[in-house]
Amino acid sequence: MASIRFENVVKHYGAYQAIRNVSFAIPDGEFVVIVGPSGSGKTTMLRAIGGLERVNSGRIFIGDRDVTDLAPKHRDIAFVFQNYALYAHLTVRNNIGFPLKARKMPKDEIMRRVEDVAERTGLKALLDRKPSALSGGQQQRVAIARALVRKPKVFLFDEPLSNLDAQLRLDMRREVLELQQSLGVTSVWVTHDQEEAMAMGDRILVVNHGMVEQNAAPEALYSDPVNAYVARTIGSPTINMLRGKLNGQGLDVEGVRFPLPGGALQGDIMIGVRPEDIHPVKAAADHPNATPPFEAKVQLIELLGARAIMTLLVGNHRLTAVFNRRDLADIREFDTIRVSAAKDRLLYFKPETGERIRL
Amino acid sequence: MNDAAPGTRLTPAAEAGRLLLIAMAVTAVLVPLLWIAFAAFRTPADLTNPGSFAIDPTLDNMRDIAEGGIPGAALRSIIVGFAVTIIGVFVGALAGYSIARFRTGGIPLRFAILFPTIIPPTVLAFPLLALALQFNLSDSLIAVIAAHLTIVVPMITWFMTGFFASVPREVEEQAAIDGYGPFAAFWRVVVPNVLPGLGASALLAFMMSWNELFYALVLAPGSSQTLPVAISGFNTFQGVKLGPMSAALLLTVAPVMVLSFVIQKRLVRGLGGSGVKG
Repeated sequence: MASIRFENVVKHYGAYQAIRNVSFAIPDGEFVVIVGPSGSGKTTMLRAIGGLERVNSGRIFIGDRDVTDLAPKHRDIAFVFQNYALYAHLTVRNNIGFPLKARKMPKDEIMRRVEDVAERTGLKALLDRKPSALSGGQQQRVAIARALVRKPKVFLFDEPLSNLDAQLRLDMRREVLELQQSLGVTSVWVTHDQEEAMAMGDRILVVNHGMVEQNAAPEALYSDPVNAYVARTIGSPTINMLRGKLNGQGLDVEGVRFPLPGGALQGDIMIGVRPEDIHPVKAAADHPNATPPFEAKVQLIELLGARAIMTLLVGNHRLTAVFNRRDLADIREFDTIRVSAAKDRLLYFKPETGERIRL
Repeated sequence: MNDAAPGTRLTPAAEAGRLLLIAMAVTAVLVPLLWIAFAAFRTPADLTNPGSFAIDPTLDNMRDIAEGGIPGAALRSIIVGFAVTIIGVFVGALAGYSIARFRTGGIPLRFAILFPTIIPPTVLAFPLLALALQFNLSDSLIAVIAAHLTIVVPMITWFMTGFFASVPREVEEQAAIDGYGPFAAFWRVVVPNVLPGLGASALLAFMMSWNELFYALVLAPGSSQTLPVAISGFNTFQGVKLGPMSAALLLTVAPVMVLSFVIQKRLVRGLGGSGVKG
């Protein structure tokens, strides 16, 4: 069990900057998700923790130990790859036992541990099969079992669910979390899927262009992002960003007025409104701090069950909103309705830099 | 097959054509071989009688070659073949791994590696002979082995590069995390994944060496004759000694055929289904 710490880590490939002077700390026992688009450096960071990439400068610590110059095998970690990286020539049993055999553990102890892990991961019946005779989900389970068997200090996961279908992904997500909770091993999970990040992480690092934009708990990222990039990355559907001129009456966006308050702010501003924070006015009674209502045309209704994703047109500006089913009532597509936004949930950003402005 | 996709079932005419083509191919390959096997057990009198298929089975031809230079030549061919196979697979596999994993020599080397096999042996044979004379190695097995390696090493390097490239890098990284150094990881994780390729390489290397005549003839025409050179010796000034030659050819071809027949099933299965697809 161990914390993980980056101190001014830099990694470049020729002129390409994969990690730009990154520092962060992950507390012991947390499940941390690194989320970002492809090419953002998230996988490079994970591989740097694992020792699969040598960094150009900076230090990496696992626990109190400086592991920057240690080979992967001396870092006491386990890695689960996107393509599972199973040993095709070995049975499931020998795949799981491989890390123990490599460390010269006695045979009967290996047997015992493999059986134990196979029990936990539901692989008991498959121990004597070759990986090629397993489904994708089963192969992934073997990869996870192999990571568990050595009881390492840190688990590293590189998009391990991206090759599985949707339902299996949800099941595996839960299983991994339960395993991690019961073991309490510090885990780093890389994904490009913000929903997966929100669902799994005790803490999330939002990564972009080789830098950590924000390092916080999911709730804090969602309600209190440090910049527009984080606000756009976290949350589904994506946050509405309105860029315009703020005056006493509201925000003027290319000739359309949104009656949003701006406190003492004036001039060029970008306001973020979460789709969940836009409500039909009929329901506005539930939200005493709602903004003044404004008219919107319903362009599209996507009913998901308990909620509906609404595509609204205000003037020629598109807004996405999420309505509860009971608020939907008799609203139909192409109706013009009155909506308002939750005043205290609005997010203000500098339009040029995307930096957050706190009122 | 009633469950064939529409339009994929062969008409009777097409089916007949298909079988005819197969029969022709099989005939083209088998008839010379069967003729040699037949001739190896006929008497010289029968053999020199054109149009005759008479056979009075005899082991004279076999006895004849057993007393001549053939057994020694066979032994030398085996020595050369094994040396070429072992050195060729070892060097070629490591070179192929290096090119596949570390991009040694870049893209140009991937193609350049095949240049030596494009150059006709006639161009290289005499420079090689000059070298052999220089190092006092002419008419030695070492000269033949070295000459064969000039063909086998590039061939195996090229062949194995593809096999190594198909082993995911992550598998090696996994082995590095699991506790092995680079050489142990190569040996325990990469090599088992390319065993079918190594098997095919070994087979190709051995057969190439076993069958090779030209280099062997130029570099070791005397007391270090290999089997093909010794067989060519049956073509004398007094004419071709058909009986002993057929017997010797039969003994030359038989082991290679048996070998490929035994290995083929494993080989094809291995070539088709190596690695785990994610």
